[in-house]
Amino acid sequence: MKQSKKRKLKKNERIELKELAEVLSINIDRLRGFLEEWRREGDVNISYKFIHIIKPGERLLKYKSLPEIILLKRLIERDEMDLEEARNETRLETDDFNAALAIILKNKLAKIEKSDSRSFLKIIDKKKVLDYIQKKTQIVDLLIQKGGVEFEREEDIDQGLKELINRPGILHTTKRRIEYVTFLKDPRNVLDKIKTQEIRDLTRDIIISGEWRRRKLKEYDVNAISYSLYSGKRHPLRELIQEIREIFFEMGFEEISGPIVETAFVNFDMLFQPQDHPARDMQDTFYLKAPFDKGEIPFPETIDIIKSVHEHGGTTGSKGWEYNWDVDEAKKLILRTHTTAVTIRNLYLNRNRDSLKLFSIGKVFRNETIDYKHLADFMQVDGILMHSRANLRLLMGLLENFFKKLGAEKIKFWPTYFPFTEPSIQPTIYSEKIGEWIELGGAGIFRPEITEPLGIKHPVLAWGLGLERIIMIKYGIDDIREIYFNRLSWLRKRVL
Amino acid sequence: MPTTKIYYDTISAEMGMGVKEFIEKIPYIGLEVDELSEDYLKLEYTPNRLDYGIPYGIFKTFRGIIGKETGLIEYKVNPPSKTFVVKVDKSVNKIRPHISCFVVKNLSLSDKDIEYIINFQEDLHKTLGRDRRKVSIGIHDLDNIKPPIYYVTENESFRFIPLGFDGELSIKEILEKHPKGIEYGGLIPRNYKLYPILKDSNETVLSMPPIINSVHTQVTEETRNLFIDVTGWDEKAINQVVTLLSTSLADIGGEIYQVKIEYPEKSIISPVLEYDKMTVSINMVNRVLGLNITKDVVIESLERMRYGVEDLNSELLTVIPPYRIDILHPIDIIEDVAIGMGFWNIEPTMEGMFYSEAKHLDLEDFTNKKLLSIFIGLGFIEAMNMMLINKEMQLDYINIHNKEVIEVLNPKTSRNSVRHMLLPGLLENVYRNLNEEYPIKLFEVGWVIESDLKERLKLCAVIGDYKVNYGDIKAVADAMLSDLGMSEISRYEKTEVPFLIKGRAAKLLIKDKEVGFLGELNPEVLLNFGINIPLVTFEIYIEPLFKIYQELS
Repeated sequence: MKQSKKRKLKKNERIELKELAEVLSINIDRLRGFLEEWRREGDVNISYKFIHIIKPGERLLKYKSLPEIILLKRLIERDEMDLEEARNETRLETDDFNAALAIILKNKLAKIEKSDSRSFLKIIDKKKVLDYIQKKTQIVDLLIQKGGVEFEREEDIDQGLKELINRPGILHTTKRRIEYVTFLKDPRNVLDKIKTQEIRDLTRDIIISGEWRRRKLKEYDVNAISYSLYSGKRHPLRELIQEIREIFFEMGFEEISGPIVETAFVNFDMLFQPQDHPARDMQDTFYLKAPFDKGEIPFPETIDIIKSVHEHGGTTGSKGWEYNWDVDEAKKLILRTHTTAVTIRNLYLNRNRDSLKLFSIGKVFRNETIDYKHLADFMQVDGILMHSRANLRLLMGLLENFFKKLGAEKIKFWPTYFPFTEPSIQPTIYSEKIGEWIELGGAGIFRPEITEPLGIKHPVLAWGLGLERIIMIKYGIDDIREIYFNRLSWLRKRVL
Repeated sequence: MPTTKIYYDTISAEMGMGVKEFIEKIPYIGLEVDELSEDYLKLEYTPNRLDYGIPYGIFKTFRGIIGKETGLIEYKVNPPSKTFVVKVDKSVNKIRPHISCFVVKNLSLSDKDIEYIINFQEDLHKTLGRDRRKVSIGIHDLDNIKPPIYYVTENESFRFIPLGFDGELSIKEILEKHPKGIEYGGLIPRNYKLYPILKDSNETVLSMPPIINSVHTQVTEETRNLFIDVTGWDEKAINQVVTLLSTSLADIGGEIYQVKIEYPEKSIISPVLEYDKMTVSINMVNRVLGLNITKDVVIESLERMRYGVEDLNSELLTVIPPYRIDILHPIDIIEDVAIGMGFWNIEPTMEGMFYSEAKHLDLEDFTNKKLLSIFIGLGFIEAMNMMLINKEMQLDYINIHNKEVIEVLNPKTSRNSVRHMLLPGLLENVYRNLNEEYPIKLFEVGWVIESDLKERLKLCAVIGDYKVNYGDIKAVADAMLSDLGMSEISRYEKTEVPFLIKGRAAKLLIKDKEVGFLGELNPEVLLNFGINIPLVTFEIYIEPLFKIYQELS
C-alpha cells in the first residue's frame, strides 16, 4: 500500500480518518476494519470530536434572503407602504410576511400607522434600516455561497448567526463527528502489515475487489465456543397429545370435544354416580362460585328417566341407589372431573347410530392440594367403542393395541372398580425402559343403568388415562408440577 | 382410597400361606398392595367392597378364589333375648333419629383383632358414615351393660366420663374441650339444646353418639361379648353398616344375637341379614365377557366368589351374600364370574373390531398443523400452563380492575379462578426463566373461559430480551398473517390496554373484526411479576382466525 503524494504520514501525528482513507486510496469502511485490528494491537489510537455545522434552512433557500430584508428593500424606496400592497408586491407567503413584519416591528425599524380603514408601514430610522439590511445580507450571502459553516465550539458561533438560529426554517443546525487516527508506531511498519494481514470476515467487498486472492484467509479453531441457538419446539405434552391422536386415527376413531364447565347432571348423574357419593363433595370437585353456580340441564328430556334410574333402577333391572334424587343438585355447575363427561354427552347425541368409535382429549379438574404427585388441573384422554358385539375381551384387545402403539411391550389386566363401568379393568404395562410394571389408566364396560335409559343401543367399551403420568415416565420426572413450570432449561434442551 | 392393615402373623394364621404367595395372588380379587412394612402390609380397596375394610372380610373371598372354601356362607343370627331391648325416646327424632343395634357373643379377641375392628369402624365412619354424619358406630363391652338400654336426649349439663379422660365432664365441656367433641360437635343440631345419649338401666352411660363412648363400656382384650350401636340420619346406610359389622364379627368367630328396638311408633329387630336373589343368564355372561363358557364353569366361578347358585337351566338363580351391598344389577354378578374364573384366563382379542374412517376436529388440525408450525418456525418455545390461576394474578397484577372472572368454591390452593386470558401464565413463566439465555421467546395455545361462561381458544406469544420493542412483536404478527394469507385483509389500530404502554398498544383487525391485541408490557406490570427486562406480547382468539382462514380457502 503506497502512500500518495498528498500527505506524508508521521508517527504521533493526528490525521482525520477521511483524509487517511484518501491518502491510502482505500475505502473508508475497509480502513475502519484495519484500524480496529491495529488499535487492538496498540499500533494506532483513534479519537474523535464533534463539530457544529450550520447550513441555510428551507426558508432561506426559498427566498435566497431573509423575508424581512425583502420587505425592507421595498420599503426603503418609498418610506412608507400600504400593508396590503406590501403583501402583494413582495410575493411573500402569509406566514413569511407576518414573520418579517414581526421582526421589523420588534427591532423598531418601522411602525404601523392606521388611516381611514387602511394600514401603513412607515420607516422610523432610515439609517438603522440600511444598516440592518447590509449586515444581514452579508451573513446570508456568505452562508448561501459556502453552503454552510462549521464551528468547533458553540461559543465560536457568530452573534449574527446565533440570532438567526431560533427562527424557524432559516437555519439548519447539525453536529458532525470527526474521527482522528494517530499512529503510535512508525506508519510504514503498520501499513506493511496489510500485506501479510489475514482476512477474518470474508465480506462482499473483499470478494468483489478480489482482495481475497492477494491475502490469506485466517484459519479458525473449529471447536471455539459460539453463541447458543435453540430451535422452536412443541411442548412435550403437546407432542404426546399428537401421538395419541394419531394412534386413535390409525384405529379409525372420531375426535370429539365438549365443554369444560359442565352441569353435575352430565358429569355425574348421567353416569349413574349417586348424589351423596363422596366424590361429589366439595373436597374433590370444583363447584363454581355465584353467579355462575347454576346452569341449565342440556338434555331436559332425560331428567325423569335419570331420576327413576337413580332412585330405583328404572326399567333397567337394577336396584338403583335408593335415595331421593334432587334436580337442583344436578343443575350445579362444576369444572368437569373427567373426560367421560364429554363421552356421555356425545354418546347421547349419537344414540341413533349403530356403532361408534370416539375419543376426546382435554383438561379435567379435581379439587386437590397440588404436590409432587397431584395437580388440580390435568389432561385426560377418553376412548370409547360402541357395537353390538362389544365385550370384555375386545376391550382388552383394544387396550393391548393402544398401549403397544404407545410403547409398552407387555400388558396385563386386573379386576378393579369404577362407579360407571362394570366389569372394570386395571391395565398394567411393562416396558424395558421403565423396568417395572406400572398401572396406567382404567377401563370397563358402561353399566346398563347408564346406557339403557339414554337409548344407547349397544354395549359401550370405555377407557381413559391421565397424560401427565406418561410424560413423567418418558422424561424421568419426579415432580408432576415440573411439566407446567415451563423451564427453558428443559424445554429448549430436550432431545426430540 | 381406603386401606386395610394386615399383620403378617394373621395372614399365616388364617390363610396358612406365606406373605409372598399372598401378595402375588391378591390382585386377582382387585386389591392392591399400598404399603409393605416389617410386620404388616396395607392393601388398598375400592368403595364398592367395603367389607374388605377388615382382614377377615378379605380372607373369606380370598379363600373362595383359591378354592379353599367356596359357596355361600350361612350366617346364623340368633333371636333376641327377651330382656335385651333398646328403648328409643321420641326426643331423638330431631337430633339423631335412627338407631340399630346387635350383640356378639363368645369372641376371643387378640390385641390385633381389636386394632382391626377399630380400623374397620373408622373406615366405615369415613365412607358410608360420610364422616360420621350419616352413620356412626359405638362398640361396647356387653358385660358392663344392664339392659334395657335407653336411647334418649339430655341437656348440656349432663355428665359422664368420656373415653380418654379420668373424670366426669358435662356434655357442654365435652363439646368444648374433648378432641372428638370439637371435631364432631357440629353434627348435632344445636337449636334444641338436647344431645343424644345411650345409657343402660343403671343410668350408666354407654356413649354420646356420634361423639364419644364412655370409659365404662370400653373394649379390652378380656372382652368376650360386644354390644354394637349404630346411629344416624340415613336408615339405609345404617342397615348396610350393621350388615357389614355383624358379618365381619361373625367371621372372627362371634355369635350374632338380634336386638329388639322399640321406637314410639314401631318396633324393629336388628340385624336382619338379607340374602337377595338375582337371575343371571348364561348367554348374557358369555355375551358380556366375550367367552364361550359352560354353565358349570359359571356356577363354579360364582361359588368361588361365595355366591349360592340354583340351576334353572338356561338361567341361574344366584343367592347374594348379605355383605355384598354393591350388587345392584346382574351385571355386577357377571363381573364376579370373570373374577371367579380367574382374570388371567380371559384372553384379549380383536374379534368384533370393525372398520371405520377416522375423523379429525378441524380446529385441532388448524391449530396443530398451521398455527403451531408458524410459531415454532419463528423460533418460539411452546409453554403449557394450568387453567386454574389466582384471581389477583390475572386481574390486579396486570392492571385490570372491576372485571368478572369464573371463580371456584373452597379451593384447596390459591388457584381460585379460571383463566380468562393466557398472558398472566406466560408472565409467570418468563419470571421463572429470567436467568436463561435471551431472547426468551415463549408462546401458548390454550382454552380460557370468559365471564359469559363461553370457552374460547387463544394463542399468546411473548418475547423478552435486553432490548425489545413493539416492532419486534408486530413483525411476528405480520409473519403469521402472511403465512395465513391474511396480510391484505388485516390492519392494526392504536388502542388502550391496561397492561400495555400507552401509545405502544394496538388491536389487530382481520376483515374489520377484532381478533386480538399486541404491544409492549407496562413496566409496572412487569415488576408485579418480578420481571426486569422489557417484554412484548401478542394474544389472539383462534376460532375467528380459523373461520376467516376457512373462508379464504
